[in-house]
Amino acid sequence: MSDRPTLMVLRLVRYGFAGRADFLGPISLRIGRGECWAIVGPNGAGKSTLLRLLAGLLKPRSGEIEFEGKPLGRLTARDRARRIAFLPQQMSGDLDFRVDDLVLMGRYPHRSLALFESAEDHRIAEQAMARTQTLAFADRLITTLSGGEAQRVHLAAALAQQPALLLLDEPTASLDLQHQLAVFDILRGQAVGGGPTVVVVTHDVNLAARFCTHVLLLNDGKAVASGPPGDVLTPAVLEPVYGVTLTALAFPNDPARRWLVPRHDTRVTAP
Amino acid sequence: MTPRHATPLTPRGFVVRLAGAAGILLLLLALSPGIGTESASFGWWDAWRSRLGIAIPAGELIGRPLVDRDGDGRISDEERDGFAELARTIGFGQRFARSLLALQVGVTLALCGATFQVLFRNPLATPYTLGIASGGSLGALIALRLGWVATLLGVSTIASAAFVGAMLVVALVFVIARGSRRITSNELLLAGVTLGLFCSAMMMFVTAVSNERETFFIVRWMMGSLDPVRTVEGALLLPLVVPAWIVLVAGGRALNQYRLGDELAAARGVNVAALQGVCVLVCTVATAGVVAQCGPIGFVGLVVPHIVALLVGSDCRILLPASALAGGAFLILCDWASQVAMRVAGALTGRQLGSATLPIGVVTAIVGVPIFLLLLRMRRRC
Repeated sequence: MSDRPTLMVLRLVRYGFAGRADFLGPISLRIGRGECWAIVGPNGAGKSTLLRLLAGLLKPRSGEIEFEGKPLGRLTARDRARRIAFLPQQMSGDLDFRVDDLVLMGRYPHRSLALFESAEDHRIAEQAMARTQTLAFADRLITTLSGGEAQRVHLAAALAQQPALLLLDEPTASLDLQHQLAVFDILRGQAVGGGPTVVVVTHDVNLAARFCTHVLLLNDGKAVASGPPGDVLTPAVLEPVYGVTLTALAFPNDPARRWLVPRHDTRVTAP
Repeated sequence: MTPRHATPLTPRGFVVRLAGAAGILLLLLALSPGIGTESASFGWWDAWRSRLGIAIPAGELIGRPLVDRDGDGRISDEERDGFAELARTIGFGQRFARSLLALQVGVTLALCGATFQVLFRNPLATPYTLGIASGGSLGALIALRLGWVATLLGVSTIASAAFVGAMLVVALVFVIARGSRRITSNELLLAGVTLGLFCSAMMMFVTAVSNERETFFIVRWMMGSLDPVRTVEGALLLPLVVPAWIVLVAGGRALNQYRLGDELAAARGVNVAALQGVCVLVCTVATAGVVAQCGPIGFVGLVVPHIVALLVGSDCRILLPASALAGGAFLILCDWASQVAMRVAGALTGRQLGSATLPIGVVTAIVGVPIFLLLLRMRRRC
């Protein structure tokens, strides 16, 4: 874990807003280059808030976030956007764009003053589409795609941004099984294959266990556990957080891996 | 019918697509000296020749009404020069200047309408959504009622009052909606609509205590009008509208990012609050200037951007300049129709009709509403 060069460090980061001044933190965390992190935890635990702090979209109330050796808050919005890509859970805007246009728009931080993209931008966008297998519908409108296809297109746009860090908020929340696997497969491949380091918020502990190199478990704004999935995603750690009894099933073809299944017949009370 | 989306925008595609619209606009401007209410029978080419100092052969003028004043069947040099002078004065002093104003107004309203539709993420947004039209009208009406009618440095006090009224209403809308953090929130639109209704009520009140002459004035004001215009007044509008033209066309790529949502745009390095602030500011100043000069001319800002989006796609880099050019062309054509319509109607009915020109707001509505309804039907079908 410590042999990978450091990308981002959080030191005693706290965040709050009116009425909930101590909503999140203190959180300390070190993210190494080439790692694939999952942030898991119950609803309202502060996962999305933490992700926005990492993205620089929110400023910590106290503590510091260091990115590539420099304070994150010191970066200009444009410099930050060239290094960190962020994919919100839901696209709130209108998406009346062609797929290739949408992916090209990921190049914006690199040439935000020009009116047009360069040939280089087109080449990078095409590579990103190849990596997410979205080239086949390059000329279609994004609104005509299925949820899974559209999510891969948004992922391609984020990759076209060529970030050092890729942040995603529940990218598989509404996808079918096949697309969930496809998205996580791309994410892990990027992280460990020389692409951007990945931090992904997810509710699926089994996907996190299978694809991520590290897991951070949040509960009520605090980091309950962090480390390799095998250490964090165990019934003993998760049960008190979720208030659900879990059964760990061994994979038939890989006994070292466990499949976590909630049991409906018994419940433990949350702390 | 789906919007036509060509391959991603390249500099060449940008120029080609805009060149066509710009060409049409230039053609309309070139023709404009020949079209108007006055039945003076000279063509646009006569006006241009006179303007450029090219002699008009006397032979061409034989048989033209009102040219051969002494009725001797020949065109003297004096009569020819008189014709050239008439063609130049009316063609450029009135008709061309009027079309130039229509161009400015149409460009501004369509551009601001397209921008507001993107900015508020609401396809029904218009340049008047924040109450600019009613605020401006109320300002103009109050100035008139108080007898505050004068011209200072080439600007009429009524236009100034309209401009101030429009700006005040928008400022008030933002103060009222300050509690909401997002520009796309309903608070802002509701505040705009509510204040607009309030201003309309106040206008009814002022009208109720006005005399007939004032009442007639305000009714005509609300219809919108491009006349009377002199070149100097048209030029006064430029400093108010040109900043909007530059900012909005240059901001196309940032506005594209904005369309993806506040968070994603911010993560891509767009300063969302600054973008919204600058766009609203330049649009408000430009639209308030237009309203002060011409009254609330409707439908251009609503209909033109939607039609243009169907033709060129919704990439803001092309949508905004194309809407601007199309808006200019649309309003020039509507203005021609407004001038010719009464003459045609008069000729058809054989009666002398009261006014020489149809109010421009009537024409934009007559042309704009059917087109808009047609578009709605087409959209529903796809």
